[in-house]
Amino acid sequence: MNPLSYAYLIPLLPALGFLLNMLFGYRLGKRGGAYLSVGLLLTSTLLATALLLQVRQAAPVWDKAAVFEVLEAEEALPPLEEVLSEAKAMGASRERVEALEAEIALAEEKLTELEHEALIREPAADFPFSSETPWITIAGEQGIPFGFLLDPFAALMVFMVSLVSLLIHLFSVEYMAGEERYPTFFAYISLFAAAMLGMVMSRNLFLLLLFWELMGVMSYLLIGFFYKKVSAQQAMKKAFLVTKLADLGLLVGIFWIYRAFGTLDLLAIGELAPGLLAGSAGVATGIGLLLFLGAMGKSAQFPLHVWLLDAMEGPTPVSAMIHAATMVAAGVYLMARAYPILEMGNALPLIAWVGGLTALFAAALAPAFADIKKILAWSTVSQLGFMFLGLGAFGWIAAIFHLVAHAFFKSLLFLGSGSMIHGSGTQDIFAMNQLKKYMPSTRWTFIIGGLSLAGVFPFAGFWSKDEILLAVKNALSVNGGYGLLLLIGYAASFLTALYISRTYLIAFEQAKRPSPWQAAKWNQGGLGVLNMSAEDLAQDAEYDHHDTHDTPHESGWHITTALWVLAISATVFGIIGSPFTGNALQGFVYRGIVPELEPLSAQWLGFIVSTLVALSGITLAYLLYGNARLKLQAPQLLTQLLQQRFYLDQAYYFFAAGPLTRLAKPLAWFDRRIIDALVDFLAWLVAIVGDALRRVQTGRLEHYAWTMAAAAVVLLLALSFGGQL
Amino acid sequence: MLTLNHFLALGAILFAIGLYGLLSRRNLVAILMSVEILLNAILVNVVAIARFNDQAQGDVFALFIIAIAAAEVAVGLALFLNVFRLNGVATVDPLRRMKE
Repeated sequence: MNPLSYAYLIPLLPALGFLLNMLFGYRLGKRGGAYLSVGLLLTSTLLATALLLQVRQAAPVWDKAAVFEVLEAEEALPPLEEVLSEAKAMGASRERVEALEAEIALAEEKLTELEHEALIREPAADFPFSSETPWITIAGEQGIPFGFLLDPFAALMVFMVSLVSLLIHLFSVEYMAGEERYPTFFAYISLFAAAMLGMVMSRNLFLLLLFWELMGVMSYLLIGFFYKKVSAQQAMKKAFLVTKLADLGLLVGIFWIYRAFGTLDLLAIGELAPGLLAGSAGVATGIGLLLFLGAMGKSAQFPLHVWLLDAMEGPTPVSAMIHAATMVAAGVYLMARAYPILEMGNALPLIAWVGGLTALFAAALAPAFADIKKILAWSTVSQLGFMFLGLGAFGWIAAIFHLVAHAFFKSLLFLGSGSMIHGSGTQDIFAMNQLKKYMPSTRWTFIIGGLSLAGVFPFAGFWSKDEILLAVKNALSVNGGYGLLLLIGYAASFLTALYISRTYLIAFEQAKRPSPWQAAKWNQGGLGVLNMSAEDLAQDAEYDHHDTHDTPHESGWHITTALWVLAISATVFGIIGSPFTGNALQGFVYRGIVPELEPLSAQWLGFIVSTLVALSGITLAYLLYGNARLKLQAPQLLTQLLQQRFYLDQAYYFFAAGPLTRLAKPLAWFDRRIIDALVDFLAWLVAIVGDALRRVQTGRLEHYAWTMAAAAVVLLLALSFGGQL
Repeated sequence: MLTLNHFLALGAILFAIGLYGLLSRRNLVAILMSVEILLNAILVNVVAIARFNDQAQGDVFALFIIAIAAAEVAVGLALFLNVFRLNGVATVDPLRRMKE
């Protein structure tokens, strides 16, 4: 059976969950709507599994050794073509041009032959699976058809997104119990998952953009789910505005792609890019940068990362959803899809630098926070930075591997933090009282997720992060600047190991103790990061008031099942991508091999270095926050600077939000005094006329009868004397 | 010899009677009867014109109207019964309250 015959159901089922929960959620009993969503998503996940297996069945299998020859032959082609185009431009003799053309034809023939030899199994005839139906037609142009593209990358993403979303749904059944608007929550989060699933299946950039924006809306609604809190209202607006600003870049980028390629079809772009963009690196760079702007907003890269931390105002499952399966993954996915264009331009080093600096910057901020969700938020920003670093260092496949691995272990950590918050009643890690005594499942899964994040053998993060650093190291041969980026990468890894160990030690091992910062301080709302008055803060504090349990309890089966399944999948996916299995995951997405991962012996040094880096981070954390309790006070100024997020948010308020507000004020006056007045006048007019006409309705039957009779007479007279009406 | 005009004159007379009843009576049942007379005045015209033009549509039309009028009478009488139950009289006066 062709997977296209059922693939459309994968995003459709959660979307149906949205509809049913919105319409009937409140009538389905206490948890009916929630289980309905879980069931629909479970079906989607099963379909996604079938899809993954079928795509794997249809995908070609390559012979590793032979693929290298193919790569060599491929690399030999562009210089030849360059020589030819130069020769043509110089007006070389006809014989020379013909000789060159013959040479190219020979090289191409050899390439085809080699490719044929390298294939152990030919791809199925209809591989990659793709569909296309006319949708938006433009006269004389290709227009925008509707269609899905199910290549290995998409299949992998669909599987990851559906599985992680399913577990987050399961987790939420228990975590969100007792909240107001319980069915609404499931409606939103289901549509969120549906949008992401639709996005990764889109064959067309325009369709991708639609799902991308749908995700923007859903994140807006979910971040502001506790809409009574002023801070949540502020956070949802902030997230929406920042990502929307970035989306403008994506939109212009897509227009430019259409202009350059005449199509938005991803398959066609992949095929056309090397030919069309050869010699016009400027176009490729421009498109690349515009797309990257969109990705920066969605994936929270410096300096557009500001929304992500405040997005923690949403419920914890939403944070897990935004930070792992959906939203932030979208930016990386887009860049990975646009890679054929990026490769032709010069945007990659910039992407690498933005990614590297974000990774370091966010990892440096994380240890200064006491709110567990905010620590993990910084961690996400930092890990996304790693992915962009990988993309920018020509490590396409490394970034994809890290994207998938990160989705599993970060959703694990987020759900773990949710379980901790659920059990202890607080988000402050200092206020959590020796959780290891009370929450065994949460503890062990958190350790697995934490080790994975820190990059400890043999967990997922170890393999994927190493691959990115390896890509950076290999990029050194192209550009010396990557040397510094390699150091930045290791520094960020060190800080990662430090902050996640700190979180674990303080929350699980240490007894409750007063937070080194006053409660108001770690809740960053009042520090000008969000624009809130003292009254708003007081109102929120009242809304937020929970009792902290000194004797926490382990969460129920919904939560622990989700945690364990995620812990196992994270580890398994790491192993599938590791050299133990011959990098099967990478080989599936790419063609059998990953050039930079060969030979294995070249990787040992990297493995050893990153293990040392991770272990030293963990050791330092142990010395500082473990029982040894090394007294080491960070300078006040540094702590303040970090907690204030380097005053970037304030800068945004001062330079962007402030002037805009001043500009908005006269416009608001015009709206109220002129536009609204006009509308009010119309309403007044209607009321006056209506009042006059109302008197016609006397309520006396005789009046109506007389009116009818009079009308009949008038009609009769008109017919008699006026002739034909 | 009966001509079309005879029938049309009958129809007009019936119509006038019905209209007079409709306008002069306060009793709801009498008003309903007047409405029926009005209807029948029209029917006489329709059937007569059809007959004098050798067409069958008029008769079919008339049959349908009679059937519908019967249903209408049933509904009207049920309404009047309720008006009577609520107010003790079946005249148009209490219906004035419907305005409010």
